[in-house]
Amino acid sequence: MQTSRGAAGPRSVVVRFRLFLTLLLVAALAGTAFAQQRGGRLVIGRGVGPSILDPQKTGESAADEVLSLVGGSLMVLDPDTLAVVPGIADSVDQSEDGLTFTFKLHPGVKFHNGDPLTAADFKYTFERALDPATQSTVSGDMLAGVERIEAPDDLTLVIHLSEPNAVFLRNLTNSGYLQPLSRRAVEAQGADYGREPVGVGPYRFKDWIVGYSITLERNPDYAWAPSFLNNQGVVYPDEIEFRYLPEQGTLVAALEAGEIDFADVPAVDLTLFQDNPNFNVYSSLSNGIGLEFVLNLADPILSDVRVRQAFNHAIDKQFFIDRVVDGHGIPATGVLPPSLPGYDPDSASTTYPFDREAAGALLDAAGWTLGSDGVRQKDGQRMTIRIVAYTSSAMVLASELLQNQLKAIGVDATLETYDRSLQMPMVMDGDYHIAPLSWTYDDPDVLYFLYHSSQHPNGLNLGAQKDDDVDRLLEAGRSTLVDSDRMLVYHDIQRIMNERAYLAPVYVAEVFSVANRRVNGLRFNAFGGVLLQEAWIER
Amino acid sequence: MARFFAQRLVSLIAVLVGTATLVFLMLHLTPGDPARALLGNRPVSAQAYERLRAELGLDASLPTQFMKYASKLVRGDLGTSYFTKRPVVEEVASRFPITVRLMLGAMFVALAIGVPAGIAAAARFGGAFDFVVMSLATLGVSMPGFWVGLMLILVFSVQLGWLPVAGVGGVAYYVLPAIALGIGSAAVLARLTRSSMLDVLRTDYIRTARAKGAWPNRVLLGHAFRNAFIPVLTVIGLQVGGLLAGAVVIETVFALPGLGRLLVQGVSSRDYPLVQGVALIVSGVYVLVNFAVDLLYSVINPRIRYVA
Repeated sequence: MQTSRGAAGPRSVVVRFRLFLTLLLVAALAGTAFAQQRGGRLVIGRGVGPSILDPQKTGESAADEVLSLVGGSLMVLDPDTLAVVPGIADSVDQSEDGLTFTFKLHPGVKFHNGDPLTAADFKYTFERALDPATQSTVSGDMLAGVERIEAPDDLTLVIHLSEPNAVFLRNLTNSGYLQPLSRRAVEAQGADYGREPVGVGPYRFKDWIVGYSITLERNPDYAWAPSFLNNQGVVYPDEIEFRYLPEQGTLVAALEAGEIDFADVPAVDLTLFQDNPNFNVYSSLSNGIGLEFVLNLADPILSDVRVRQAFNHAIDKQFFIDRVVDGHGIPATGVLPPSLPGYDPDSASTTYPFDREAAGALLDAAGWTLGSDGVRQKDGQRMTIRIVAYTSSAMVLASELLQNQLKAIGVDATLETYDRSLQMPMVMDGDYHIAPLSWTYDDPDVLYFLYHSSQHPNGLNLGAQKDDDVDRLLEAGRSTLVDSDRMLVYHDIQRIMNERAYLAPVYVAEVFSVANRRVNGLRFNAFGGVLLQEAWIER
Repeated sequence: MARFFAQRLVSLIAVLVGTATLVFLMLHLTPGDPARALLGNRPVSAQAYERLRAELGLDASLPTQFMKYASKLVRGDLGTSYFTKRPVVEEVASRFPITVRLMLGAMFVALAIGVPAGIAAAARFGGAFDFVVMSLATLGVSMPGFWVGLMLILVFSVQLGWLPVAGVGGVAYYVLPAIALGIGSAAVLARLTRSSMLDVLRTDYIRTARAKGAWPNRVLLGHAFRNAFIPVLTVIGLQVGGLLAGAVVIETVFALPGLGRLLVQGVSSRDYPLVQGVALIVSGVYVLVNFAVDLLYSVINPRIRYVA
């Protein structure tokens, strides 16, 4: 008896231990697969940090990113459909003439200082952004055209516009720049408000080591997340820290060492993370043109459409993609990327295939004939083109490739590189022939700023484009309220701009984010922007 | 002595006035635009840009802008940053301690490695040790600081995990940056200490000391080094300028939010008040450090006195 018990003893211990292990495993699997864990700190690595966190006094994307978690917005962008849907507003009504918007606010929304959010706060916020004394940067511009704001009761906000504006609601989805401000907090903190913002968002401001990190902590009262998110309430991590590491090599090293959990990584560093089980790599197509060559249309050489068409033909887009972004991109077919509403799927048919013979024939027809030194000439003038780039490794490499590809059709292209703070004013002054640039958009209306004749000089119509047809269409794009009609307007713009070769679009790049394996629940919108409402840390 | 101080004070003021004028002109006469930078990367209208320029007073003529700046400056007001909307003095004050810690660390590395290595190399002049020290010194001078910094991160932070990659915190956060910044100065000091020691070791009084049977180490450190250190001290004062310049790069590599980073950010965003303020304060500190070095000469060698 004793013996048998003795023999059975260890075996039953083993069985029990196996059972225990199995239960443990099941529990662990259940934990990882089904239950989001609360707590922990998510560390996001970025390059340069913000200077100020007053949403109306900054144009920095770093500030916008932090503030978008601290704040909220009247409208939100559905990450999957890109439709504009109510956010802090429960509903919105637009008058028939398109000039008046009436918002009904979600009841029970509170600022981080405990004050309830009312329509009067929105009125105060937007009027402050429009007041010249605020010296507002982006927010005032996003509200351009607002004539009058009323707050008839705590939950009703009425905004009157001076003219119909198709992007007005789209602008109101920005929870960074256009978030509601607590009047009490702004007035009490004065100039220090920019160091300690108070919002209504899922995270509240905790701590800022200026130039190094910003820490946000979970807002325990948060219960007004947009309807398309699975987590409607309080976020899972205790804290989010943005850590600013301006040197890319350091940022990648910190990600490798596990000191930061999440960062955007350039294509060239991807190999470090791609086949590494400790990391997850996310990719999406950039919401902008990763590389385009801006052409100075005011210059006598480039004012000839045949020359511009020839330059477009001279560019081997795939070669640029392979060399500059390691093959991670697609050829651009016009001024809009496919990730953006308004992109014309037919634009590929009006763009210029790589064809040096066609380029040569166009230049011949324009009177630029090959000289004995291999450089084209016209009326004794050599075809010398100045490429003015800013000192980013990608832009410099792209410019060198362009230099070579233009040389192949008999163009003497010179390259000058400057710090970005110098290059941009030079390009704005028209002191260049060709400038490589990249843009990101969130609505096709951005084309108005980049190509409408009213945006030159002093604006971002850097090529000094002046085309009445395009101007009219850009204006129509802003005032056409029926979305499907509006998108057709942008199709026309892409077609005309391709035909008249006002610029040379090259590629739309893929963008990559890398997350440590312990970060779960990351979601991305159609533009590749990360949504953190459902994120949690495995501990 | 009092006249010496007065003379130094006058030269300090002259340096500050010169710096203020020069930096103002350099910033305003070169291309670049704070309003454009303030608007960030998000495309905005030409009208927003024009409005902002007017609000910042950037559409006024250059003499008007200079008069406004100068009149504030004489009242001790360095102005308000365009970007942070806070007084420049506060911005500098918050960043200064980090740069001072980094520079003290780098100076420690430079002195602790450079001076003993130089003395030892001089003592074994022509030998294998001398050759090794001088070869390492050449290497130390030639390696760019940012590269040394990234290599140190890869080895000690990513591979070995001994020290943090970057950032602010306790002493551990300053170890790698101080080495990356100080290693070049250590190399310079090693070479200089060696040659200065060799000069002194050939003088008569050293030969006398040796003839009298003084201990070799006492001759080396007690007699020779005291005099050999004077030119080294001069270079240490001048190295402060070099370290400040190097701090700009090292602070970027190690994400230390010091004065160097503030300056780089200010220059690239054309934050005129900030850059002008930082330049003034840094040049003031530089003049003061070299003034302190002058005073130290008389401590080390009492025969050096100050006359105006």
